Amino acid sequence: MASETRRLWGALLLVAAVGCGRTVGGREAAAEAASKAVLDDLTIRVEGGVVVQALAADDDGHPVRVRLRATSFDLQVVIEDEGCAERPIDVVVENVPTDAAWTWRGWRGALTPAAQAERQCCGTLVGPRAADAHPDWTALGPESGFVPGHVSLAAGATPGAEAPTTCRTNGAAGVVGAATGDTVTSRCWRMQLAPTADQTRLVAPDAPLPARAKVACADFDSLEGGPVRQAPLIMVQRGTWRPPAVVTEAGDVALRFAVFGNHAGEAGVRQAIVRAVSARVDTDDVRFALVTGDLADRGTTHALDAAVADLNRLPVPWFATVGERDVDGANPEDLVERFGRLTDAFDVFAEGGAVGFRVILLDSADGGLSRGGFRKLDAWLDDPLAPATRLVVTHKPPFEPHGLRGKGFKSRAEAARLVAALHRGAVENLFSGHLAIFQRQVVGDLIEWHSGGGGAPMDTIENDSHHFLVVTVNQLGAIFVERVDL
Amino acid sequence: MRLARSAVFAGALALAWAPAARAQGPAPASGTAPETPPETPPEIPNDPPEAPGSTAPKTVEAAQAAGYTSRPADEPAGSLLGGLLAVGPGFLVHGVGHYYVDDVGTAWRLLVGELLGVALVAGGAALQAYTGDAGTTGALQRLMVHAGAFLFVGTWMTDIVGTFKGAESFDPDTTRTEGHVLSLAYRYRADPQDPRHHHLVAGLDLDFGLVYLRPETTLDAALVERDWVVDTGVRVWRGENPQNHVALGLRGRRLEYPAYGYAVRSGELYLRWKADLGRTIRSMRGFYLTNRLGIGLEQYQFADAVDRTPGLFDASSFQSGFFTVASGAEVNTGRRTHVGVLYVQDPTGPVAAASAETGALDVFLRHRYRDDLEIDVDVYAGDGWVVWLGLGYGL
Repeated sequence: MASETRRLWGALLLVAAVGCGRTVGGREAAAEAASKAVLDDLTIRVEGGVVVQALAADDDGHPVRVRLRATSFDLQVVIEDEGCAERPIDVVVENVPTDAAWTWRGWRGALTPAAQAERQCCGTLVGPRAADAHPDWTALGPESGFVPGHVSLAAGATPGAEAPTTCRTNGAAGVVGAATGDTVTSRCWRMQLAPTADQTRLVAPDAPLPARAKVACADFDSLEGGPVRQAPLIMVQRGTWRPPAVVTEAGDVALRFAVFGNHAGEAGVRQAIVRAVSARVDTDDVRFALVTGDLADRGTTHALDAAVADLNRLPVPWFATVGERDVDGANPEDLVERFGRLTDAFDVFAEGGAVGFRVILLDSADGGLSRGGFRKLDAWLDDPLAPATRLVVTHKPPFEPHGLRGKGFKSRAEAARLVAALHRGAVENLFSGHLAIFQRQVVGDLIEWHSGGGGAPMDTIENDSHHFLVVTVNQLGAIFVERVDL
Repeated sequence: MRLARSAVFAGALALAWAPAARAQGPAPASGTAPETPPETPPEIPNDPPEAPGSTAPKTVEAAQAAGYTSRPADEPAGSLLGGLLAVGPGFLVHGVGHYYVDDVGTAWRLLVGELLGVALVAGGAALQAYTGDAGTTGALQRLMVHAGAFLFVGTWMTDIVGTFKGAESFDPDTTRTEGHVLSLAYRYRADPQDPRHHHLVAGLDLDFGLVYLRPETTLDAALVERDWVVDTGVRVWRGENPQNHVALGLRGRRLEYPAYGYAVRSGELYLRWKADLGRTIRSMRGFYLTNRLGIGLEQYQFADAVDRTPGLFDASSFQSGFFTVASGAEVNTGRRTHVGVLYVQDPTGPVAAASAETGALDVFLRHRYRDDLEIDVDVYAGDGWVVWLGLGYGL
């Protein structure tokens, strides 16, 4: 029996060595970490985007530099300064259209004694004052618009009058500079933070600052300031983009975007798609692009950078999830820096609000979602504020047209769970890029659009050619899909 | 991480199939007395002491006269060096170990098996590349790769095991070939996608020899996951040794998961065979190869809310075919203990495959504690793992 036991344990050890084949947990953790950066006494938080790089000021005179990537049409950057010294901060945001609207507002990260007393005694009856708009912070002025460029954000002052410039970073140095002729979609600005220790008068939210007020900060009376005197200075910048709708031939008001993926590192086809989509931006008002994964052949830094460089030539923002090739050998941080959260959701509203829908990106590179992925999906679908129209973009479809081949999710139970969730969430369209075909597959109430024509060898039996999709969503939430062959 | 897993894999293989170096034959009687150490121990007699009342033959000639036969010349003993050759160089050229122990015929058969396996894997890869991984040939491509990998790993392992062990057969297979068993098991599932770990499995195995019927139900502790299976089949061919057989079966299943708002009903037609490898490779008598090939259809039903599922006979929203294949080996490691290892590619399995290209590993043990009582242990590992601990009571 001893030898039998030994053999059994060896076999069990063999079984255990098969191990877990799902690495999406590492990517989720990297995505969470990328929503924040801490540089000593400076904290940068971002919603609707990820922090790509955050560099402290150095002895060569470079200021604090923050590089972000927008992963939605509503970006919020919160910079919290717990220091006392005045300092400049350069912010670069990639993947935003040039006509996005930007605002900023200064805060102190605490409430004055008066505000606290008001909340405690009367807050439930009176409600927060309109100018406060935050339960824990004290506003230093109204929300003001600004035009990105080399401007200083000054409370009460007119935002910088300099002309907007496109920005470019210089790799590790993070130097912000103007670039003429670039089609890179990015914006940049410089802000001057000055959390002064001077104690003068509390500035009322709607009142202009005294002329001697420092840039982007407020001075507080020692009697009225209370905890605000020691609170960090907080600068909140928001970027919002509402693309103009188009009027279709049928007379519908609609938004258009491109969908493609499955490049598998084929740079020639990838670049051809970028050129073709760019042309459709001009002719058919394509406003953004969704990429369904497998941008590279492998997840090496070189391959990922080559894919990103090609896609950055698009004159519109693009949002991507990853495929099994992209994650092969890749560091999760490399993927998140280049593509964003990979499992994410954002709302798209046309200018004027006639058209609106929610885009949900799902990371299925491992042949399934993570447990966190299902939790997030349920939250996005159950959100009462979400638009009625929802689209899902993922690399591997839950079910594929040829079940015997088995190129959908590696577990049918998980695939059924996903489709059941989409059914309850009234999702009617899912775009995937894993299969090298173009096919419309009906899965209950869901239509799976299989479009893997981005460069990988196509299915020779189906005899499909490389292609991309142009998708139109109208004011009624109806979706029209057009295949465009290269 | 992959290197660590590979190291564990290699260590596990070594542990599971630890070489049992065999003696080269009956030890000749020593005619030389051992040296007397300084402490002058008593002199060791040439003949072993005779047990009281023993009638054992005292010489080889006497033993042969009493019916003892020595190992036939064509049944080599096990060899440690041969086994190591089978592990190392034998990974590239299967059969090296058997060639070393002068079992040339087996060596050539193993080499042919290896080449056939490599050809199948290469053919599957070529088919995938040529057709752009087409859906219509996807099942064939997967089957080719699976069969090729099974042949490659199987011939290599056969060379190792057979060379280490020698020609002596394994213990007879104690798998029940007829009779009825009522079974009850606890199942623990560690699935990264599912927080439900604890399940109860109850089953009935009605085996009439030619036909069998096996209903089974699996319920999670909170009754939010319910799985019913009915498996029936016919052994269309059975050998003199009833362990060798080919069966054609049908497996029906109903899975209800109200926590996620869906239900599935499915039917699967399968072909399963089990064969004694010793019929072709002398050193592997009592070592069985097994394979199961299935094709099925699943129908999915989706509820409008969680905590409910459509009825069994309600219309389905969608249906999809699926393909399963499992290959492995079974052997008795003792008089009453039966062990098996299966490589499984089944998208309907209890946990997902380790990756899209690979499958899962199923290792099971059945110990017949008494003629009417069996202890079952089963471990299934892919992306997550499942353990069954069960008892079977013969009816």
